[in-house]
Parts: sequence; structure tokens; C-alpha cells
Amino acid sequence: MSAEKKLTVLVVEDTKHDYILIERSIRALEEKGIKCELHWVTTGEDALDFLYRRDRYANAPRPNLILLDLRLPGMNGLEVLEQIKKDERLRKIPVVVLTVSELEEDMVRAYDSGASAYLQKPTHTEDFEKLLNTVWEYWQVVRLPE
Amino acid sequence: MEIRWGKVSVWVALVAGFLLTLLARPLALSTSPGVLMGGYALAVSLAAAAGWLWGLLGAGVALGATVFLLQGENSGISAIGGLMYFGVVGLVEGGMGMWRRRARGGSRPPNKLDLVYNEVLFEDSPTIVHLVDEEGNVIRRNRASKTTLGWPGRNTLHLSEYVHPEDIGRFRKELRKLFDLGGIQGVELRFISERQHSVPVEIHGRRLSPKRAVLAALDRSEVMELQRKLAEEEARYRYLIEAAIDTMDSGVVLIDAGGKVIWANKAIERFFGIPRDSCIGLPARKVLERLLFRIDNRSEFEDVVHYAYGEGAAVENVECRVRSGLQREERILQYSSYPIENGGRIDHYVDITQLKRLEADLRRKTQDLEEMNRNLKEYDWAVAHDLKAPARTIVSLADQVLKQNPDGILPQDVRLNLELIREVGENMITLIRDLLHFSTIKVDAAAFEPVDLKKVVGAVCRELSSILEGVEVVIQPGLPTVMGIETRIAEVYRNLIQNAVKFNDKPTPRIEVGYEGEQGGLCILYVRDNGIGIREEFHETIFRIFNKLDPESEGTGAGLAICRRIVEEHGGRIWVKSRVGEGSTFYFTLPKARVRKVEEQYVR
Repeated sequence: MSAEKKLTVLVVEDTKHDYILIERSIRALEEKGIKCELHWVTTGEDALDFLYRRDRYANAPRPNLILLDLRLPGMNGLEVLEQIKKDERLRKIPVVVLTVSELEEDMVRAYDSGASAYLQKPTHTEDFEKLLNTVWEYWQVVRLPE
Repeated sequence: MEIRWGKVSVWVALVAGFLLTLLARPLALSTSPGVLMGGYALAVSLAAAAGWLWGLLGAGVALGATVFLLQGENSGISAIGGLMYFGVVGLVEGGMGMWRRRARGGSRPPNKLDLVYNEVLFEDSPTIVHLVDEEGNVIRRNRASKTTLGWPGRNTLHLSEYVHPEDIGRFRKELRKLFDLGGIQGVELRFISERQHSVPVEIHGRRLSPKRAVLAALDRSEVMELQRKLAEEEARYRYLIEAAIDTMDSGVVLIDAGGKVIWANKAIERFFGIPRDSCIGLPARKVLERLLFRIDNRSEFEDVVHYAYGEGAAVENVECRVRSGLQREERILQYSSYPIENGGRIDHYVDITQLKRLEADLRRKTQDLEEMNRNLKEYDWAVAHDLKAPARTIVSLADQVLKQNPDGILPQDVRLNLELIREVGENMITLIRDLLHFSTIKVDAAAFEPVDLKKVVGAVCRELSSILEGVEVVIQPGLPTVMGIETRIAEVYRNLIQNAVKFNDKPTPRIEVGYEGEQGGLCILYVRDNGIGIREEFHETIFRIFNKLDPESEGTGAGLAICRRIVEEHGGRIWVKSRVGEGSTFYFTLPKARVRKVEEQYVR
């Protein structure tokens, strides 16, 4: 990744504890000199408002990676995913599903709807951290349209 | 009988001729042989005119010759008279013959052939022929009379002997008519035979003379028998058809080419509460009017039927709802109407009330099932996400605190408790995982494939090699190929083998995997161990989900429930035989593979 490029991540997650772990992982990344910008919403509706820059998200930046939980209050993650992939302007943003669900059906539906990856949240902190680092590494390598 | 003027004239002419010839001289009328010959010629001419040509010709020649010989004198004149006589007779006869032939159409006088005809017609006729007197007594009878009526030795019969006693009065009346009018035709009555059998006959009669008549009697017994049979057949046929249609559950209305109702069955009465007799003979449209009063979806139904009647078209499966009424329940009928060959049509009303009810029931049940399936999906979702997420967070947090605070920083009891929290949370996650697994086991029979159990068991044993160390594993030869889903069947073996090792207190645990034969298209398979055994009261309950017998053992107790679920989804069943301390044998059945499939698999 070139120096001027920034990783702008939108985390859609209602479990605060998981968000804290994600945030900590990102901070560690920044300490290594990688430019990162982290945004956090807790509901599907907020996620869409953020992406469409509605109301209080009027000045929101366009993320180049979305981490999406499936279990959310109100609109669930799969519905948010479908909405994103239906929209021509948003469809190019990679969406990584991060969930506790082991249901085959959830995974199939996520990929069918256009998820870039389906990750299952590990129970133990260390495993989770390892997983997040893999994600950051991968998405720094991957080329994305501006 | 007509008077034969020809015959009479012949006799008159002959007598007159002879009288003239014999009496001419004594009476001194004339002595001239010419006059005599002329008189005679006149008489013979009259006879000839009546048709007796050849007889008179002979007589003429003989008399002419006699006169010629007797007279001697004036022989020349006599000869001329004789020749004139022949000429006149010849001319007259020729003319008369032509005239007669024209008038009678060429009929011939009786000859030998006619006698044969009479013999054949009379004696050999299959019809009874009687010559009777004016009393009706038989004077002459033919062979048919003798064979049909009996009395073979007699040519005469008294009226009372051959006419049925009940019909004698009528016979006498007809006989009077016969003699009065000259003939009777087609009179049906009964004769009676010598053996007192009644013989139905049809009589034709002709008067021969004021005292004689011929009666021809056709034996009608065969015809009568046929008629009786026909009537019987028809009655049976009608009965069959009408009774069959009457007892049918469908309403039937028959309409003739003129659009009139000619028949309606009992079901129509039952469906609409209208007596069918009141419909028969009425125009079908009128009858329809009456039916329509009782139909709920009248207007739509009316249009269809009027269209069908008007166009002569067929109409199929139009629904009509008949309201309930006096002794009449609400019904849903399916109406069809077909034109038939003779220009009429048949209307059907099929009662589909029950069908509709079942259909509605089925629809409701399907909805219920769909609802239940939705609920189950939601339940799966809730288990997978909502139950699991907090459990995971608890474990994760406890884990984090423990790892961030190495030994010595946290008080020992806090540390122990946190470790306990983490363990319980992890167990809970395992439980949730098993529960979810259990509830989402769905085996699609359409996806069944032949599964070679030798391979499956081999693979499972390799996979479990770490826990099978020091365990004696016996795989009996002859494990069959079954139909099913390989991964699921492997899961059954994995669970059973794990249990066999886990619940074993012997120094050398022993596991035997085998096949016990086939029953009703299912293979009976088993996994036997020499472990701790299971008390009989638990032989059923161990297959229930989370029914863990040993609280100390690892796992959730979902394993056997999952096994049962998989086996039952394959159409088989699972059970256990066990003695405490000696070991257990888990039996299960799986569908046998069809031979063809197996061969295919071997070829591959």
C-alpha cells in the first residue's frame, strides 16, 4: 500500500467488547505508522445512513472496508449487506462479515449477497487479535478502486 | 266366391247345341243340315268364347263328322258348314284368348304344377292350414297343424279341441266376420294343443264358399318368447342403468334434442331439494331457473350454463355453491355439461364439498407448517446469534482479564472464579453448537448415494486414531454398502466409537463394528464395546438431546441424539442392548443399497 493511501474502516458492530478489541488492533496498526481511520456504528440503519451520508453522517468519509456483524438490533447484517451490494455506488466497497454464527445457511447467504469474506469470531482474545491482524494485512495488499 | 261365368256358358252352349241337333228334325224346324250345323256352330262358338277351346274343337269335329255321315245328302254344304265352323271357332278363340291374356295378366289354368304348389303350400307349409266349416270345426288340416297341435292321426278337429277355451268366444266372432266379409287378417289368439299347451297364433282367413273357409295360423310362440326376452332384457338394462345412475353421488340430468329434460337422477333431488318428477318433461332452461334459486354464485353460473345451452358447447368443471335448505346441507358442486350425439346433452353435478373441505384443511395445515418452519428458522438464528454472542463475550472477557493479569496480580480466588466463568462459558458455547447442529440436521433423500461402510468405518478410525491408541478395534468383514449421505453416516460411527472409548473402564477397551443382516430392505449394523454398560431404564432416554448420564464426562450429551436424528432421517432406527459392567451394543439400521448402484460404484 502506498504511503498516502489510508485504510478507512467502517465497523458495524453492536457488541462493545468486540469493538474495543477491533479498535485496539487498529491503534496497534497506527503505531506501526499505517494510516488508519476507524468509524463505528451499532445498527444497520446507522450503517446505511453513514454510507449515504445522511443526517448526522453528512460529512462521513467513504470507507474502503466494512466489517459487518450479522446480528444487529433492528435491520440485520445480511439485509445491510444486500442493500450495499444493490447500490451501484456502494457495491465496490469490500464487506467482511464478522459473526459468531456457524450456520451454513448464513455463510451461503452472505457470499450469495456479495460478501468478500465470511469470518467467524473466535472465542479467545488472542485468536481474535490474530484474525484481525490477518484481515488488516490482507486488505492492505489488495488493490481497490478509488 | 265369384261365379265362373265361363263354365256356365260352356254348359249352356253344349246343351243348347245338342238340343238343336237332336230336336231340329222331330220339331220340323228345319231339315237343312246347314241350319243344323249353323245352330251347332253358334252353340260351340259361345262355349269357345268361354274358353274351352280344345275340348269343344274335338267335340265339334266329332259332331261335324257324325252329321256328315248321317245326312249323306247335301254333303258338300255340310262340309262347307263344318269348315266355316272351324274358321269361326278359330277366329273367335284367337281373339278371346288375346283379350283374356291381357285381362288376367297371363295366368294359366290349373295344371300339374299347380297341384304340386298346392301340395307344397298346403301340406308342407310351416304355417298351420285348416279348412273349416262355418262352425269353425276343422275338415282338413296340414302337417304343420299336426306337429304343432298334435292329434296326428286325425284330419278333423272339433272347435273346442284346438281353440283355447278362453278364446273360443272371440274366435267365433272372428269366424262370423270371415264368412260375412270374405276374409280376416292378423287376428291374434291362442290355440291349444293335444297336450293342453297354449299356442299363440296369428290367423289369416279366406272364405271359400258360404260353408267353407281356409284358416292359416302362424305359430307366434317363438315370437312371443323373443318379445318376452327382449322386454325382460330391456327392463334389466333400464333397471341397471337407472339404479346405477340413481345411486351415484353425482347429479345427472339428461336433456333431449328439443332442450327438454327427459331424466334426472336421485342425486339431483338430494342436491337441490327438487322432486325430479317435477323436472321431467320441462324445458331444461326452466329447470335451470329453479335450480338457480338455490345457488349462491348464481349470476356467474347462469352465464356459463346459458352459454353452453345456447351454443351447444361443452362446459367443464364450473363450481357452484348450493345453499343449505330443508333437509339439505350446503354443498359445493362441480358442474359439467356435454352435448351428445343425438343433439341432446348431459349435465353433471359432482359433489366436491368434501374435497373442498379437505383442500381447505390441507391449505391451513400447510400454512401452519410453513409458519412452524419459519419459527424454526428464527429459532436457529436466535441460537446461532443471540444465544451464542453473549456466551462468547463472557468467555472472551474472562479470557482477556486472565491474560492481561499474569499470576500474582489477581488474588488467587478471583483467578479461580474467572477460570470457572471461562470454562462454563466455553461449555455453553459447545452446547449451543451441538444444539444448533442437532436442529439443523436435515437429510435429503433425493441426495442419497451408495455409501460403502467399509470405507467409512476405516476413515473414521483413522480420524480417531489418537483416542483409539491402546484400544482393540475389530471391524467384522462383510460391512455392506448402504444408501445415504456419507458425511452423516460417518458422524454416526464417529459418535458411537467415541462413546465406546469414553465410557470404558477395562484395561484393554475393545470395540467391534459389524453387520447383522438385513430386514425389510434395511441393513442392521452395530457398534459393540466392553465398556461400563448402561442400566436398562436409560436405554430409551440416552437418545434424547442433552441427556447426559455421567456429569463428569466431557461433551454435552448431544451425540446420541444426533445419531438418532441422522439414522431416523435415513429411514432407520437406533437402539441399544447393554449389561452394566459388561458393555453395550448400539444397533442401527440404514437403507440397503440397490444392487445396480453398487455395481456401478465398483466399476468406478
